[in-house]
Amino acid sequence: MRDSLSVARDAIDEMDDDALIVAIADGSRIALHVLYERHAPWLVIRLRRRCSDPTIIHDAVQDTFVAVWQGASRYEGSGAVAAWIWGIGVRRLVGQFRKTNKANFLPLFDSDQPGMNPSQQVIDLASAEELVLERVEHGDLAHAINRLSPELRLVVQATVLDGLTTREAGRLLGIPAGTVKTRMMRAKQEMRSALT
Amino acid sequence: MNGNIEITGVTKTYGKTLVLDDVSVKIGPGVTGMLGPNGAGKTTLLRIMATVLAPDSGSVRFDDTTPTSPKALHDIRSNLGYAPQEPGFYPNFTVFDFIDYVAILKEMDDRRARHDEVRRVISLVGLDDVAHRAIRKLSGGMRRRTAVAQALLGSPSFLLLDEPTAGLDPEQRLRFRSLLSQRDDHQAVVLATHQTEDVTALCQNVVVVDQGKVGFNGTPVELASSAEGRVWVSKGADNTAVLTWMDGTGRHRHIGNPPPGAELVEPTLEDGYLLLMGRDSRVETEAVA
Amino acid sequence: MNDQPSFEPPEWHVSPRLMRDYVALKIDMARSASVEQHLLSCPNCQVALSSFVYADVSSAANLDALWLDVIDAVDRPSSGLVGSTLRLLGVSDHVARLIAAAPAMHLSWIASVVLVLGFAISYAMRPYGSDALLLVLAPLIPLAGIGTAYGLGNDRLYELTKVSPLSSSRVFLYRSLAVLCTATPLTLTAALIMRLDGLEAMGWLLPSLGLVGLTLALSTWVQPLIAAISVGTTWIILVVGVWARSARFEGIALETTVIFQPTGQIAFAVVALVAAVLFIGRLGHLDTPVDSHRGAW
Repeated sequence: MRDSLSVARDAIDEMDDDALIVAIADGSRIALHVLYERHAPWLVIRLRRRCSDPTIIHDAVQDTFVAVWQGASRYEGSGAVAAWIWGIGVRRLVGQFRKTNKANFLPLFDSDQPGMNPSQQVIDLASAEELVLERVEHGDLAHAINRLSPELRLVVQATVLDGLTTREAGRLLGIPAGTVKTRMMRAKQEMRSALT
Repeated sequence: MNGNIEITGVTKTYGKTLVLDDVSVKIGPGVTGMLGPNGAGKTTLLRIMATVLAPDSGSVRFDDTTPTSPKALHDIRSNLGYAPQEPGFYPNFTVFDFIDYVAILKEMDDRRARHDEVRRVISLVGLDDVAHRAIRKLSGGMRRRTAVAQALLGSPSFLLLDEPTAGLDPEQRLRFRSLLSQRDDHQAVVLATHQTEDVTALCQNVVVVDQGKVGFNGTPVELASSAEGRVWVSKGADNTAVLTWMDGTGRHRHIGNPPPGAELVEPTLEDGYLLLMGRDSRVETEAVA
Repeated sequence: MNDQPSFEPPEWHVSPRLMRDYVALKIDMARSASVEQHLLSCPNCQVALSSFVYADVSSAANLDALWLDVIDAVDRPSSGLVGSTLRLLGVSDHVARLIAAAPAMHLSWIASVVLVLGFAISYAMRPYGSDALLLVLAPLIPLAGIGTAYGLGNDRLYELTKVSPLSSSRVFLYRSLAVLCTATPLTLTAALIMRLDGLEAMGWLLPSLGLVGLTLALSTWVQPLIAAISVGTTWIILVVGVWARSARFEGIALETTVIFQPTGQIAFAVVALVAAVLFIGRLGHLDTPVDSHRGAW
């Protein structure tokens, strides 16, 4: 069954993300599939850290790739395609909460659970943080983030790392936008004092 | 359904023209090539088999069912895929719309299951990437594949394809062959064509239709061997032959009654076909070229 | 965030172990943030994560199922105005597609809307204008639709419809009903706009049903287009003939002729009924193979 397709599929497999988007804008469903296979896994995993309901994640990811299909012709090509997909994905996730009016049960990070070995974490951390937090006094910032209480940390994640607005973050976390603001302020304070 | 089609004494006239003259032929599972020049009556026979057209006399039986009652008609049509030579398309239809529409006509009422099946046949003919293009904007070869795709819906026991390879380039033709080789054992595929290569490459059986009559019914090997001892090659032309043409090596290939001492060669299916047609000296120049 | 770092960061990728912990939600936020930021810009690590996730049977199955839902949403044909309207009225999805797919249906709908608007406008333009136009033309509107809705020469998918298990008669019936259900309320609206009273307002209805019945019944013998043209022509000849005879005396309006009086109306009701019975009885003829190459259907 795949046989007759293999020729076209191989050529598309070779394409980089930008070329895929162009092909998708031109109506290529195979290109959409290739893009999906590249980006759906990390998107699903990343969303799983923001929501513990698999059906909501399922719908959000589905919406995301449908939006990619429909919006490919309007893609302007600034920055990585993955960042564009994430921007759509996280907003679709927020949209799911607006639509269903459900409360978001957020998954806990393992560090919040008892029985973890803190020193183990610190060792692993040393390599991972280098890349992203390179421009800051990274080790300390990482500690500062991890030391925040779960509520504050989620607000930091939603607004700083995921790029959501205060209102969107509120929807995702199931709290009023005002609370997002105050928590963000408290988080900043705590991090500042941890870093000095 | 076991994929047996039995045509008995089918006659059809259009006005005063006799198109099919008492045609009787049995077709079993596997791929059967219906070979004949244009205008031989292949399309008419196929349309009668597809229950579009009623014969003036005679009947077509599918396994144990003849299309006499509404229920029998329904049973047969439920197991039938038919790709006309030029199926009409609504001008605004995309490939997906069109095949989905035919799937509705095939009574696939559950939307999701139907769309999954539509996707399956679109993939089979390799049209995934143009699924949402308007059919009128597609090339002839793509249209032909669209026509074939709709016939594959629901994996019917009887698949009737009218000139499915016409207008396909060599690569598409190859794909089409690999597609047909994936059918299951009980499926009867009837392939109307005027190209002997299709038959050589694909068919377990061949029925030659000429001037409304069945001129041959057997295997491709049998058709080829019907020209056994009748095909020879020589350096120059030979006027005694029924047919003569120059082959790729620059030698002349002849079909007919060989003169004594002629260099006989192994006949091909095409030789057998040409000899069959040449007997009435009605061979189209196109077929010889 | 966008400005380039002033130094080249060391080449760093998500280690298999970190990847595994990340996928299992087993790392803290600072590290997961690093992984996530890195993934956005590193195709290598995206591929590594993909193969890691797809290697797990159940998550691969989930991703495949999710893909089928994505492509299903992508493939969902837009139903268009007519299709959406039908669905809104409770017509099931596939029936709506059978009705709305044929371009002839759109044409006949547009035609009925235009004609009915025409009535209303002609009335508005000529306050003392005759209502005859409506009475004569209204019954012809559904005929035009039925004549073009299906059949050889009208429907490009005629041949494929014929060989399909879903009977051609059902397609024909659905489309005829759709035409009738559009034309009748529209004409009624026009009649109300024109403020016709009593028989004058409704005088076209029973003849209309009668003509539709006749066209449908006749369509079991000949092409619907031929049936519609024959019935339509007969209607015009009948109306004009009757009118001409009674109009020898100056000033007899069309609506006072026998056709629009109770006798005529009852006659058309009977015609409609008989034709309907005949049509239903002969419906199966639309599904059998046709006899001749082009002529009948």
